[in-house]
Amino acid sequence: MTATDVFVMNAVELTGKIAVSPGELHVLLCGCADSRVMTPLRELVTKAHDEMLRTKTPEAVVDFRDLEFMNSSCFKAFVGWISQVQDLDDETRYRIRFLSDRAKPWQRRSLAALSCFAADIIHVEA
Amino acid sequence: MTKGRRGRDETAHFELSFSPNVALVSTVRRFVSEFYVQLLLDGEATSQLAVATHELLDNAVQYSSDGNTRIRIGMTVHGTSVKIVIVTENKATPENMAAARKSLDELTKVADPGAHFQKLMRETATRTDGSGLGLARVRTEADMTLTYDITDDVFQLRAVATFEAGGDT
Repeated sequence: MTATDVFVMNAVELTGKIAVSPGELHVLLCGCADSRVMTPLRELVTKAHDEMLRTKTPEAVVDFRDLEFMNSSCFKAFVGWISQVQDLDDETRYRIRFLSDRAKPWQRRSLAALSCFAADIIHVEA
Repeated sequence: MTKGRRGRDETAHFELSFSPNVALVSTVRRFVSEFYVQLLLDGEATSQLAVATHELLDNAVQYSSDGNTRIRIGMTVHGTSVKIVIVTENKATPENMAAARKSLDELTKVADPGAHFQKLMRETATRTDGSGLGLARVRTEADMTLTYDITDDVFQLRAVATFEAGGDT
């Protein structure tokens, strides 16, 4: 099934996109997420959340594998997203599955913290 | 890069002074990651130190009151272990100095840094000023000990950890 890009972001050293296909929403990030891209990243995350609610998709897949680095300001965007999902009622709450790269150890540590934060919502694949 | 004086017993070090420019933070992180690799640290330790370096510099750049930031990284080899000391220095306003003291005092006295990080994550969702997560990330993800020193309007932050050369902490 062909995925359709519903949002594309290109800011400084970070590119990102949201692609949807029936039953799936993918968020792909590539490059470096530092303080310079906080605002566009927050916009991407907000769009992803809105799209999940609009399409009633049960799971979002967030692909970090090509993400070289993420600082705490950008990490906050994901904490905010997960908090919003936690606040949803049972019928609208959805899961978020992160795809990570074992060769980037910071991803394991940061995503482990996110998993602890919302174990019922977050799943991490290495 | 500035030419600094090597500390007693130090095997290697470098110092860098620059004007606050967020674009330089990622550049410095990449540069020092190469430095860490040269010290025979493995990918895990290098990644931890890259996180610490980036977060410490982000902090120093964001809160510098006069446009200048300094970072010094020192390395001391003892047998197979490598002690890394990262020091950042910047002038800061009394308000920012007080905020930094508060969060660092909290961070250094908690018994469980991981649980503290979870608490800060719950708080950050409603924060409007920064994430409040950077220094806690240095403590928990980079596994570094943090101390600070204030002299007049200069804030100096020091992060220390020991790693096994080619192995884990």
